[in-house]
Amino acid sequence: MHARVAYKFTSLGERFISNIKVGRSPQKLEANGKDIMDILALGIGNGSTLVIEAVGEDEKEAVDSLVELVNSLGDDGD
Amino acid sequence: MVSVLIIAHGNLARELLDTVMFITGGEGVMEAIALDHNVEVEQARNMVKEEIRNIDDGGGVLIMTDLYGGAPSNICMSLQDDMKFEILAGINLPALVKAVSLQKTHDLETMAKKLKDYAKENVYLASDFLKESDEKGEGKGK
Repeated sequence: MHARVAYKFTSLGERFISNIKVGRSPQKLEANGKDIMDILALGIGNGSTLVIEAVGEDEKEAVDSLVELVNSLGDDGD
Repeated sequence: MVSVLIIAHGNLARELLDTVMFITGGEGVMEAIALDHNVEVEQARNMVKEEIRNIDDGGGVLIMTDLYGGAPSNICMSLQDDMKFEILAGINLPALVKAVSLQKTHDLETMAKKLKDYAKENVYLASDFLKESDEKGEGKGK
């Protein structure tokens, strides 16, 4: 994943109150969805499957928005 | 909001700023001063003072320099205390990108402390990752 995309992801994540965890399947949900270096360290590449979990009062909106962002990315991750 | 001023040797500050702006899509209140080795100390000090006054909106300025003990840091440390600033020396790109997020939500002192830790925490030895991946049988980063 490009750093620019990771920034977009975490910047979007920061707009939500909920705690957001991200993992690259089948790994555990170990990355903070609001931290760019955590997301970059997942080593996400083309074809990776991400698992996104949000817990909090705006959890559904958070997950929906992040999934929409990820699905909008092109093959080059940008 | 806390403003950020990058000061470094040669053209490093401008290059770092350009890279941060590329990653964040232009978000962030951040400026850079490239300290050429030919610039006189007093001239450099005046440049820094002027820039601090220009970018400070009242939230203070976090000066991020490349090297503790180097001219950029020393010049900043000799500035008068009548300006609201903090100096974080020995910065890296993770800390600069994180600064864009933190400057919206944190005060100057808290932000400086968090970024000091963040800069240190985000230096990785690739072989540690590979070893961890081998142990898990995952192939991290692939």
